[in-house]
Amino acid sequence: MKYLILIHNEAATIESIPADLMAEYTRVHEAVIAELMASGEFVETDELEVPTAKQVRTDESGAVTIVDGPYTEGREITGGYYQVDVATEQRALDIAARFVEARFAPVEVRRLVHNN
Amino acid sequence: MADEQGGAVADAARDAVATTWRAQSARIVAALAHLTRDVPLAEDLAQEAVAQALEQWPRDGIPENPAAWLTTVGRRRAIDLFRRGDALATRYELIAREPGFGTVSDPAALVDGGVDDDVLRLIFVACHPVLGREARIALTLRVVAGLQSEEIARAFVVPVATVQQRVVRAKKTLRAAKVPFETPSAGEFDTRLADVLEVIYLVFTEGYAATSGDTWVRADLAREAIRLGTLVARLVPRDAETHALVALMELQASRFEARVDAEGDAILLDDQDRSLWDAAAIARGLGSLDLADSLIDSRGRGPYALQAAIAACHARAQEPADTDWTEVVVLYDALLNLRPSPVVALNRAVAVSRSTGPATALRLVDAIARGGRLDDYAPLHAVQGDLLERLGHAAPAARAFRTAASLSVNERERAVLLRRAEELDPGGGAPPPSAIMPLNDTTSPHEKEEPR
Repeated sequence: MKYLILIHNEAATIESIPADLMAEYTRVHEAVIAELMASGEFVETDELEVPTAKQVRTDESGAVTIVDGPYTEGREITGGYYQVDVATEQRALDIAARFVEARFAPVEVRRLVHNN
Repeated sequence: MADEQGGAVADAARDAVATTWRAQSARIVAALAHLTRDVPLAEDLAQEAVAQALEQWPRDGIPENPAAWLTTVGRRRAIDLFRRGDALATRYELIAREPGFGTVSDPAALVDGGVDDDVLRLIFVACHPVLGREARIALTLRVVAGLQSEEIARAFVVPVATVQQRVVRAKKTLRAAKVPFETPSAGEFDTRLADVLEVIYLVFTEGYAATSGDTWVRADLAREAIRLGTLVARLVPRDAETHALVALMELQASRFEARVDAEGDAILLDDQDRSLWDAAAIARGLGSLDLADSLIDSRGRGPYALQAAIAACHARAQEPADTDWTEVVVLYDALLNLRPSPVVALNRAVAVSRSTGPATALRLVDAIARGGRLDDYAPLHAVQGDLLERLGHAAPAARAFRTAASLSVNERERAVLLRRAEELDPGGGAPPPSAIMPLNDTTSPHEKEEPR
């Protein structure tokens, strides 16, 4: 079953991450990628670029409003994702729990509806 | 048909001229410089001999010893030239006294002690400080290594005409400065040596990873570079970097046999059959590296020693998994510190991808790509493609491989890259859909956003 693991960051804390903690972030990601590739559970992963964050809204008349990010008022932003192909939801949750980001902001686990 | 046969004979003769020049240009020019004590003149004479060969060989057949033929013709032309100039009468006598000048059977036999020292002198002249660095390299690659101007142009990412101009100007400069055909004095040897080593390594690189044609490995050219490096090392036995350069070249050359498969396709380091690695070359390389390390001063390892140490990390690993990638990254850090360059940074990123992982490495590579200096450098895109593939991004990985393929001038390398792209994204290399279909049916919102 395919799941998307959405990793959120607290926007305010991104810039204040100490270097050694950053190294730990990286270590965990690389270890997870290596493990998932070895087990065949890996589908893909990517980071989402922060400065390009935009929100698009349309109202009933069809008028489009674009709001530029980043959103710095203590809001959580999605920092990256993994797509994994795992046997159980529990496995996806276990993977999600390993990311250092989970200590500061929620990591979301969502099953893909159509691509399964 | 007689015409067709004639054409085939002419082609064979032209091939013979090209092959002989490629393999023997250094010896021929060095032998002529030995006589004339004038490198630009020697080069001109050699080129005239080549022109005469292109005329005569298709008609009379390829001589038994083509290099000796070219040398002999060059010598005769030198003598004709000297006969015409009274001031050069003494020089003519000098030449005339040389044994058997009319019928040279082997260019090496021209000189007691072999032609090697003359080749070395030739390199020092080609790398003379009156020349700019680019001119030194262009001249050495052409005269000493016998490379075509096209190949040199590709190596330096400049137009062919630029290289030809560089060679012509370099020869004029040497002539104007009356640069003697000799080995530099002890006082200037070290600085002159650094230039020579650089050129030798460039020659090696040209042979190791051929920039053109369908031959992945041009071992002869690389061996020539090793031979020249060994020669210089013999001349300056206390110079650590010279031994380090020899170590680097030996270690890299040890993988020649393992680098291509039966079809002539490239095999990457990880997939190579390491039993095919030349154990003797590795032993020589590690020996030269040990020698270099025993000679280093307080400044520590130089750039060649660091690169040789990196090559040694691979050579020592029985299996790819045995490679000490952490050590490789540390060595690249030191090398970057000494010689900052985006290419070294790219190699470091590859090592990081092995020691840490693809996500971290991709960030490094993306940062290098943003620097813009490697836009036309095929390996950058190949590495990006590899990392993207490992992170599950099939379509962008295929695009990167196709970009790399479009930039690669090596046919076999291009084939490997295109095959990887095709496996990831079949048909993705076809013309953009917008060319055959209405734009709004096929392009993604992202693509539509692009031009603004």
